[in-house]
Amino acid sequence: MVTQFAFGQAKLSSGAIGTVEARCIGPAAMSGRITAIDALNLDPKIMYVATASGGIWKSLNGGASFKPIFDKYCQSLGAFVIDQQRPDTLWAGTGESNMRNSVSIGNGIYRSTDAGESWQLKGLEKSEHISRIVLHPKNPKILFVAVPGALWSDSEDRGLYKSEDGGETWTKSLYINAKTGCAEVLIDPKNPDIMYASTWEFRRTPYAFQSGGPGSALYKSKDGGVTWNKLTNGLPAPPFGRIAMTLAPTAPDNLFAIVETNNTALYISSDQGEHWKQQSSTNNVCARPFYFSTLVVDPKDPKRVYRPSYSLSISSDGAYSFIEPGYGSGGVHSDHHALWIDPNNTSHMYLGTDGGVYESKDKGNNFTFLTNLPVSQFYHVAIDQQEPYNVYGGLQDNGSWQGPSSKSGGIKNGDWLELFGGDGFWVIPDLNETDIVYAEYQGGNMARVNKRTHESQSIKPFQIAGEEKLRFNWNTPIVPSPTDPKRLYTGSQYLYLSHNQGRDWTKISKDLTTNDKKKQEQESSGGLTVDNSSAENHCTIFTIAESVLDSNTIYVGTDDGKLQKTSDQGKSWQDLAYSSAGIPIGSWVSSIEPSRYDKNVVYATFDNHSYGDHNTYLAVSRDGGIKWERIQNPDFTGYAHKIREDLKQKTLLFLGTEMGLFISTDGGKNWARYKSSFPEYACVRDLAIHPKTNDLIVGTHGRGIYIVDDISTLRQLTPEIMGSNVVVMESRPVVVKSTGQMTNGFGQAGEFVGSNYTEDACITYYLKDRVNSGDVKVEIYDNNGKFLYDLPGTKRKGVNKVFWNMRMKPPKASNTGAGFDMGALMSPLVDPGEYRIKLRVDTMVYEGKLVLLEDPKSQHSAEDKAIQRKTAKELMGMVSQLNFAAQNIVKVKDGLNANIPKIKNSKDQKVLSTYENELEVIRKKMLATKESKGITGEEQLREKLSALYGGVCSYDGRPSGYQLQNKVVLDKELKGYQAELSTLHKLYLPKANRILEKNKLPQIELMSVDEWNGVRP
Amino acid sequence: MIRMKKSLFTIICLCLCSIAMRAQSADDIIEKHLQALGGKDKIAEVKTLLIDGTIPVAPGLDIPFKMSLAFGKGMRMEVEFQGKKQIVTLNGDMGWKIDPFSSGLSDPDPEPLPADMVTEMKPQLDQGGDLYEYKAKGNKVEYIGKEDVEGTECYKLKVTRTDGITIFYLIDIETNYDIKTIQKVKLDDKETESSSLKSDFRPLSNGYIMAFNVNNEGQIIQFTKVEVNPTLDPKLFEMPPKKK
Repeated sequence: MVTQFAFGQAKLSSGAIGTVEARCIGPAAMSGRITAIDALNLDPKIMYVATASGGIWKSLNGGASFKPIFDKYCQSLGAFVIDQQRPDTLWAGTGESNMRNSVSIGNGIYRSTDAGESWQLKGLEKSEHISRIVLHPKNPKILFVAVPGALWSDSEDRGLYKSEDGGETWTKSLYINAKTGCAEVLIDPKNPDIMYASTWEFRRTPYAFQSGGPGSALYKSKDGGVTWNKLTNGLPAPPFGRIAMTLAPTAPDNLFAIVETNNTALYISSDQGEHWKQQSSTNNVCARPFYFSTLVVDPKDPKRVYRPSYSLSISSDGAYSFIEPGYGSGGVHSDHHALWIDPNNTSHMYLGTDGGVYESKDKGNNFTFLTNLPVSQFYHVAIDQQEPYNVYGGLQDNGSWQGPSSKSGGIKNGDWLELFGGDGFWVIPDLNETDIVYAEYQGGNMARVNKRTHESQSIKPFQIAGEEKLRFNWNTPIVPSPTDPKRLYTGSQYLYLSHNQGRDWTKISKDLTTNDKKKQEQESSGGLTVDNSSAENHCTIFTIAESVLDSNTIYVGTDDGKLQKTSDQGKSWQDLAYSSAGIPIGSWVSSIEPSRYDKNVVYATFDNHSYGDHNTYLAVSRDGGIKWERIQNPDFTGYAHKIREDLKQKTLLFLGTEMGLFISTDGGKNWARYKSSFPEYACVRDLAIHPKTNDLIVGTHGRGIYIVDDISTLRQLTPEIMGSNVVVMESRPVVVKSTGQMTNGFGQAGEFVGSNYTEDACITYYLKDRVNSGDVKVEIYDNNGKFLYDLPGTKRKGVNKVFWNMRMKPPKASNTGAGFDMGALMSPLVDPGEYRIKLRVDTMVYEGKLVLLEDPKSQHSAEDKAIQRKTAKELMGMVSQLNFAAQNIVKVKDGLNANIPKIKNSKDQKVLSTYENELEVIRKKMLATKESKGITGEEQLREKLSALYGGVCSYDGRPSGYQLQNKVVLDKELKGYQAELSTLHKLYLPKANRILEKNKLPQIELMSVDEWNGVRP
Repeated sequence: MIRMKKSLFTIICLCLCSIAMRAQSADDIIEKHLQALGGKDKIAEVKTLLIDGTIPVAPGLDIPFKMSLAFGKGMRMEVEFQGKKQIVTLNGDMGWKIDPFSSGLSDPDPEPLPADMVTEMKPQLDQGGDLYEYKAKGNKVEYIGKEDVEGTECYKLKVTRTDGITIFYLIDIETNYDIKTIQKVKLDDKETESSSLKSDFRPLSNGYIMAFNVNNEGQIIQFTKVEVNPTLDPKLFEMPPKKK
């Protein structure tokens, strides 16, 4: 029974969600894109890693372990620097500046003055992308921030910013125009008035990228950034694109710059930039300037230059020539964006790549991968029906993977299986054939992959005679039918359906896009450096959603703003108009969710960020797509990626955006940001709900996979419950079984291990407010009302969860013997059935119940399990009897030993001594008594009984014949000691008490069972 | 299996250090916090404490403990389990322990505490804790801003002690109780962080209000009885001689 005290209704809040917490399962196996690394010069063990979309991570031990320190803020970082003069002061510039198609945006510059414990926003809120922060070498209150600025639109909030008051106020030190930002800034460490900056004109549209233009140039200031002059002498003729630039810290007159032009090359200057000369440069040195913008000179050796790019190029002759080390230690992930070199030991460095952080101790010749940064960047997630189920997803530059939702000992990197290469996106398990998955790399290059044989067959639809060239999105949808898993959909500009695992496709639509030819010129995209990776493919299908209620109804969304519907399996199509809801025409249709409760209800998200509009667009139609109504909330942040309707509660909705996960429990009227053990501004790209476990699986782009276990609690969070002071909520029935031995070896020092959901029973309750006064206890009773024990309750506002291991109260220990009584720490599982819960909140009591089930998948027969339970309980009784007897020995011995010296008559004294000695003989046979700092290995009855008892308790099946025989032997031994003790006490205790009485000393009494139960040892 | 946390001693001490606050400036917040705990006068009255409590280590298995605390002088914590008694004691500038839980012997000899551990624990002898009379004690306090603690809005104060230890106090803006503390300590070249959630705030006999429940990252300490200003024998804090 659930009782509650209602005081009205309340809206959902982040606090009310409480301990409906998410757990991160990683993976860190492939990690994710790194944008900046810094460490303390004085103590390089303290290091920070800033990431493209996974926040900032701090290590206090040189990378042996990390913790995220930016979870309340924007997760996209473009720049990060420690104030080495005040090492607790950190600067973080949000908004990555490796301007790829999937780059996220930032919302300003943040400062911490307590080594990352807390952060303050210090302005530049509209900068969107920050590429560099440099501090004045002598006065760290003066800092410069290079702001490339908005990628998708004109913006006046770009350029080089300067603050002279530690970030309180900012001025523009260098500004070109609304199309040109600042990409790089350097300060001469010996003469800080000398500065250099590169400006960059660039722009993305949904269908093209342009790097380069008249705004791009190289500048020098001789007055600390007050005035700037272009540097041209020896540089090629403009236009320029992006310029990566650095100087030699120990010889800062020497400059190095990779200047993007039609013939990108590396240039060097030895006179503070006044004259430049071109060097011959390898492809790697000059590759993709918009994406690889890092150039680093050794802090001690001005001739040693590092160029992180596709791979790492190293020059030891001042950039005249470069080599690429062979990495004898194994491969390093391609695409490098950050390099930190220890200024005190320049052999030691950290390299940041599209796939995490690597450490080298030999100047970049060999690297070790840090396996503990779960900043993996998923685009999509999918799940299968296995138990435990697997999670699937594709990642930026890291292929397609599968991993378990739980695993004994935790989910380790090695538990993840790579399925397909390239950039991964949709990965769909075939629910009919568990060896098969469908995966892809960019541009619709999809395959049917056999996980067992590792064979894969391309299943990408191809152009047929008379057909236009097919256009596949960078992130092409592969979507199974929710009504028939044998049906698979994909889309180019046309929608395709396959009934045979992609071997054949049937085109079931016309061109569903705008087919705007002006948006299909990707072969010339890139600007000065052609870059046609399929990232700019446009006028393509991006979203496919079949109705669960009607398989003939399919919705399709495109990247150029089309939302189309068929109600007859593609025979005819209806172009749905949504702009009256206030959603800009041409927005990407990022997700569509036909309701599973009402055929006429459909939700959709729209993403217009590629036109510079970062608003959150979520809409619903209640008439099959004719009229749309926008769903808004002031807390929404980030462009919308995914709307998901719950499988069982129609008013429960989940929205994933570029900056957060939002939950509504009332059909979209009110929303709360989800932040229960979850980064508050995580980029949430995809959401799945498991139909059996009721788990919400969250695919983030930058923080890996999170699982919110058992969202049935959220389904109960009605306004009525949230308006009550205290409610015991329903918990899902749980199976009673032993969890088995962990197979965790000696642990995974240095490796990320994803956590599992507990198999314990969970008592769930709601508290309207935190309980500060009075205690909270969860009392457990069996169905007959017998009290088992209480558990300490948590007291937080919102949903609380208290976990119970479903074991009986352990037997009581005696307080004698060497070592610890392990038997007194173990107990059998309780029987399946219904248990009553009493929640005590200060003086009030609230009742509920909990159902414990037999394990339906148990391999043990009911008879075997009954024997196990009976045997375990009998053994627990034996442990109790032994401890009771041992405690009585101690009691009598203590009484004797205290009084023997006081007995004057030697004959009487001998009687007492003999009694005490006889008791000690039995005590030594009942339990180990040899004291030692080492391992005595002594085994007496208690130790033998504990071993047997533990073995029987931890296995749910029939005890072995040996165990059952052993029990008989030990029971006989126990009874023998009990009989000996009984005889001894009968023989000696009356005599002893007469002697004590004669000497006017206190009597000795044997402890009763009741006394034993009432006394805590 | 029972896991005894090394920092148990510290956790309980942190609880004792509840001195409180609220509002815009650090001083304002501290003033209201101290008022919520009964007021400065009540805090000043408390010279010694004798605490009984339990530590639930498994369902149905609670371990009893006893703690004696003389502010400015010493502190002794006794935890008894299966007849073996662990004692951890601070006596002015030094500390010692008798630890049968890790030695293998039921009654091992006393041994001194490492200097780092003494440094970590010593501020707990500070009457009224970090925020009470903080200026006189030389502590630096900074108001960081508001922060959510498990759905409850709190003021966050950063305290830098004279010994260099940093501790954050999160003070419920409604009740002005310090419902959470986060302590950062560097031990043996390793910075450790421990956070404690406090609840079950109850008045002691003199009106001083103290948290009777401390949850240190899942390890709960429950006070059952707290005696104010008992007479404590100074010998409690003195390290006994080794047996041989």
